Amino acid sequence: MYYPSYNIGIEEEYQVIDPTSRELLGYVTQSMAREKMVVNERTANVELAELIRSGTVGVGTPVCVDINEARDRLLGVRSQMLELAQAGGFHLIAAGTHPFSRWEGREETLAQYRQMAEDAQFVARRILAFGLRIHIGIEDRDLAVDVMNTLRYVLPHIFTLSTSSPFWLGRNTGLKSYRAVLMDSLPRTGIPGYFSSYHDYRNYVDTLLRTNSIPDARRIMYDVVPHYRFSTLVIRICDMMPYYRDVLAVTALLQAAVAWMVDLRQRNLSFRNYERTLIAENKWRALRYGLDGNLIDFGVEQSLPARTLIRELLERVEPISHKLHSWHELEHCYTMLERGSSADQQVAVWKENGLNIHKVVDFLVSETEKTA
Amino acid sequence: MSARPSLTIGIEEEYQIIDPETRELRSFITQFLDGDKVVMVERDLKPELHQSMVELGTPVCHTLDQVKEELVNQRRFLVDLAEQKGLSVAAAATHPFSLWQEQPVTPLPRYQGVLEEMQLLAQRLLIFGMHVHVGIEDRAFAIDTMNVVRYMLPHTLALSTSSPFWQGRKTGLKSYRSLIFEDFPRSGTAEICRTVGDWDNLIGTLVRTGCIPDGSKIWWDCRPHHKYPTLEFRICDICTKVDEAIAIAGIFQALVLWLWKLRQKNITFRVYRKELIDENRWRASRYGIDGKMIDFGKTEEMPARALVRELLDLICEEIDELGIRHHLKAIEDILMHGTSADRQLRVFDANEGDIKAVVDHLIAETKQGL
Repeated sequence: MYYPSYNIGIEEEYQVIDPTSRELLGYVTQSMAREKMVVNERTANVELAELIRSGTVGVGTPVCVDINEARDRLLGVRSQMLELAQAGGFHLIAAGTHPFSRWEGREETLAQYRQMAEDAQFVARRILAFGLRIHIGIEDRDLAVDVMNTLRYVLPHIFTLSTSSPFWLGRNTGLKSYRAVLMDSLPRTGIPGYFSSYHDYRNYVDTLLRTNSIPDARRIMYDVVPHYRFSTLVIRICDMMPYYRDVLAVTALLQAAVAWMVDLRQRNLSFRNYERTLIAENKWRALRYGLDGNLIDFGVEQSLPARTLIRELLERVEPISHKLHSWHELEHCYTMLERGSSADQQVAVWKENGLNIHKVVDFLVSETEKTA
Repeated sequence: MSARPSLTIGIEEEYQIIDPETRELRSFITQFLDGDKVVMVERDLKPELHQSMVELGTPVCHTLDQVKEELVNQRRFLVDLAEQKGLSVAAAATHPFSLWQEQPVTPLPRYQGVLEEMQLLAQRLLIFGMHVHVGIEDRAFAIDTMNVVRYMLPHTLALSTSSPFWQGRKTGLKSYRSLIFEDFPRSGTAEICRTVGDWDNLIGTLVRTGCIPDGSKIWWDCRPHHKYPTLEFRICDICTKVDEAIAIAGIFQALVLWLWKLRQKNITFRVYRKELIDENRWRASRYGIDGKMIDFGKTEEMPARALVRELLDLICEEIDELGIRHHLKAIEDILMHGTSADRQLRVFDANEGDIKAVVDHLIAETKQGL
């Protein structure tokens, strides 16, 4: 029998905002491996870089045994960062894209970023798209790959809840997550293919290493992958979310979905493995229409409202969630379904304020600052 | 034993219509539209989403000689038609500097539909490709060929690269088009389909669930055409010179013949994972023929030029059997002197960064040999 720990790690990225112009000044990102906040080296703001580098922001190991510990740690990191920003006279926002900033984020430079990510000796994957990375502990590596295969199916559903990047360079893109489009234009991103074992996956990674296609396994950035160092599955399909409770709800849902897949396996069952092409259809619908669209139930071959299918998923993982003591956070997903995702909220704020995009930034700031 | 595929050949190209004064893209197609019909033109001029884009296709041809004649006629026809209106034609996969944000969309309901569905992504799709159809009547063999031929597509993309610029900037890539198109769902390297049943199931599921109306909305780099008995190769940037387009079409034709002959001998080229083929595809977009690509048989990096030469050696017999060797001289020219992308970058540098000179260069090369 397998007994994964289902440990939780949450890595967030925060945008640093000039309070007057609302422009993006830089960003900070969390790293499991380095146990501290990492400042973007090319940050436009020296003062900010100094503040963070002065070392006050050691966030410690982010590995948490359950959602309650994860909640404490997430709020701890966020309030530490907010205090720092306040001291420096900045704002922070947590969202998939900045609504209008052109700071190094011009579309034309996408190619250069992609090139940099390829050519540089360190991970310089900096298109200005901000994603949430969630780690769930599964110690057995073959089991991790087995879960990775089946988990792919529910990722678009969960992603839908997180969408928070409808704007890009000041335009309403008409999509709910433009970040996903930006990310997926990098190599080795998006929904991964099927791997028959951890050995099969390692073969793939080793081939890339041997042929100098990648300098290290960190360059493999599919929506779900086994971590290159830790015994976790890393899920990176989600947009950064402004409100911390949304982050916890989505994290709890992912943890419960992983546990559900393992539970099926322990009963000699398996969620069906669908072709990547089919799962990618749902991801496309998720990034285009968010919660308002339809997703496809490939079991019954019907296109159904995303909300219906997400409710169904919530019902199916509820028993496991109770065992994981996470339901009090997970059930916030129902509130999100009624309220809409951050993307829906942002578009509404924009329309209510005569298409004033600065108001969207203000809204994001206040959502990010919420601690209750 | 299945019958030899007919290997008929047809080429579709998407052209840019240019204002010779400003060198910007210029609306064109609406001048010939009456309702949703194109009128006053003796050819099947297909409107595209963007008004400055025109697609033309040759008839089904039996030989490469014949398709060359047709492609030359087609380009000449369009150049003449444009010139009558005081406009020019350029064959390159991106316009060096025109902005997609400023391009009017063709006022036909089906394009309004695409725009509604794809939003900003559709507007950004200001890119121009070449599609080559090769006749394969046996569907099982067409699917079989799609799986294995995926391996060679990055090599042909490298040869065709013609989109180093985007929105007035050097992108650092040789084919920026191939990146832009990947933002669309159902694009890029094809997935492995083991049987015709697999393919039919996939299309069936997508149609039944309302994702697509039919197989024409699968935009993979290579696909069985939803109506014609052909395998359609869609990976290439449009070639600026007509001779280059013909040479690449010749490679596709010879490849299919080679694979068919292998199959008669119970041999197949190995089928590699999409993830691995994508590595070569990226290298082709990024470096064209100047980079290294991976030989996955040996798991070694090799110069792209060496791998292209190896590919030509592999299909050497078939090239002679089809009598098309004289058309493949253009490949040797590309290997020696670079692709359209390389030439555009040279013109740009020689003219001290004057991007309009690149447009003039493209207009001139597009007419070469007509």
